[in-house]
Amino acid sequence: MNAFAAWLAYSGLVALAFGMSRHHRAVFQSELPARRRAALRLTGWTLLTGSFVAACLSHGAEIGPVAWFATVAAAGLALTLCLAYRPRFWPLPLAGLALLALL
Amino acid sequence: MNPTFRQSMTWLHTWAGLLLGWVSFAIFLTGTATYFRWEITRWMQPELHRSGTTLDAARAAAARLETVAARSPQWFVDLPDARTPATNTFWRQPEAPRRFEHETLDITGATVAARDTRGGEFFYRFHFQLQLPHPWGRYLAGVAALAMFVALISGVVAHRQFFADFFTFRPGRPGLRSWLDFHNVTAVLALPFYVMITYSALVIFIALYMPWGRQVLAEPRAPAGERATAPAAGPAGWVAPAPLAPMLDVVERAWGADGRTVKRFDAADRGTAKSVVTFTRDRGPHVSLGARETLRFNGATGAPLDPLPPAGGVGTAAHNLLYGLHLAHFAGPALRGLFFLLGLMGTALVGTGLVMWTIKRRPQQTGPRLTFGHGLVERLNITTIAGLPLACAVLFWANRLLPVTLAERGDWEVYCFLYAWGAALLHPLARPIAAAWREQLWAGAALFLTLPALDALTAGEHLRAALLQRNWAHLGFDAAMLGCGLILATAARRAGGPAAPRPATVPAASAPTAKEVAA
Repeated sequence: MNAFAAWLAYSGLVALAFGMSRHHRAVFQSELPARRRAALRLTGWTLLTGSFVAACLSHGAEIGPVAWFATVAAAGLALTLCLAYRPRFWPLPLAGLALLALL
Repeated sequence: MNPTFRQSMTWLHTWAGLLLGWVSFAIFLTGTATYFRWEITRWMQPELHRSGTTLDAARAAAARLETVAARSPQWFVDLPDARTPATNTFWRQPEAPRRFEHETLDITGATVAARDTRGGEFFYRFHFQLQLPHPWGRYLAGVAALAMFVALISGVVAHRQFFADFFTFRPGRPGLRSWLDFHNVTAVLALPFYVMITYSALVIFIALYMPWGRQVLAEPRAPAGERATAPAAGPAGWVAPAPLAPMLDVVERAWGADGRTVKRFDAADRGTAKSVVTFTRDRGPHVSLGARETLRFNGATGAPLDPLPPAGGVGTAAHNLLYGLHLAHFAGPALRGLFFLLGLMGTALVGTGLVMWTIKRRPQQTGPRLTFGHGLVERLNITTIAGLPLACAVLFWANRLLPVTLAERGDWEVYCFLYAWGAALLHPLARPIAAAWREQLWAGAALFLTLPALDALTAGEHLRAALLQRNWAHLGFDAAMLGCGLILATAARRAGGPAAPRPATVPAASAPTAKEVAA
């Protein structure tokens, strides 16, 4: 299991979440401009693709996609709980996973 | 008739979910536990220890079998690996062709006296057989899997704001809102996993549910493979089997180098000229079950044979791939932990669905007593969602408390599990709904939270050994029991009633609703 792939997955989902007005308002207390929405969505999908590549590189072409789906699901759960209970703490898993990836 | 397709799908989702929901919850809970079945077995048989290499264990097992099962026509040996500490040998007696004798051996080939228990295999078998006689359990599990699949698809159709609600969970709201948010979020985030696990579950037993395809689409049978040709049998018909030690040397030279050594070996047709000994290697980074390396030897002469070509066509390959995905044997510890988390999410998905059915309809229950249907659903919810974890805790308590010398001890542990679950079925009949929830959840929490203490009291020397040898299976299990206890305790605290008023978040307008529902 690749911490770097998890970090990429989580950051991709964060970008996609902030590209949605509801969550952007909850975290930044401001409306989401259209150009920023497009930029965030592009960033999000790119990071998720990167996460897929990282998972395949670390686990091989057979297990990689399976590991990626599981990682994205877990990252999504973490982000959802974060947005529900402590929206300002969204960088915390980013820092934690970065630490794991570097160790 | 419902006016729109979406409303029809909502109706279908409700009923497919409700009618088989209790079975699906039990399957998901025990199936999630199955991801750690060998770790559970290690905790439930703490007497076993791991040491030495797999090939040492293989040599010792072969020597042992040559003394106790010299005339047996068939041997199977499962060797220790990272997750199983001991060798398990199985052999057939010539006069009892359908039964297998079984021994558990340690690294020296001596039989180990470990307490008789089903271990984690109980959860494995329960999640597709449901402790019912063959084949009814598998059929019921199949119907539940099909209902789950229908519920997944109809749920996606019924969910109007699929993408807009992707990360939305609003806790603490009155009524159905928080429950529905959680149900939707756990569904959407892990949807690929649920589709995979449910579909593969149906495919695994496809020969049981839809046998006709195989009869029509005859797949190419594997060619017989190079069969052993050996000198003519002796006058008594028993051809002395070749010793296994030289074969193991060949295996060690071929496979021993990079660590993925032999996982099991079996000797078929022993005592005949056609005898074949097959060594199977650990699976390696492949998902499909079919991807297994073997080394085969002539059982009578010891000469190596060519490996068998892969059997079957596209159907078998697809079956192997889906079976492999479901079992997830390819998963390392971290990935297996992820699968476990997703399994828990699936369990929560089914559980929240069942609870929501009752919460939505409670305002319609105006009389002093619940209507039969509603009462039935409420009580079965308690039995399944609170009672099944409670029964699992009782199973673990029984494992530590039942005397080691008790006959049929493994069966008695299961009886304790079933009696506890039966009590959880009867208890809500005698108590008000909210009180029954609280009592069963607190009882389960208490049993789980005190389980590590019981472990220290009754199996203290094994726990100390686990700490010293860093036996993560044993220690992780105790930690997981604390985690389960905390989850149940949190649920018990919140189980004050359907929409227990939370002063900070409940707006005044909905307060009367909360009060009249909680009555």
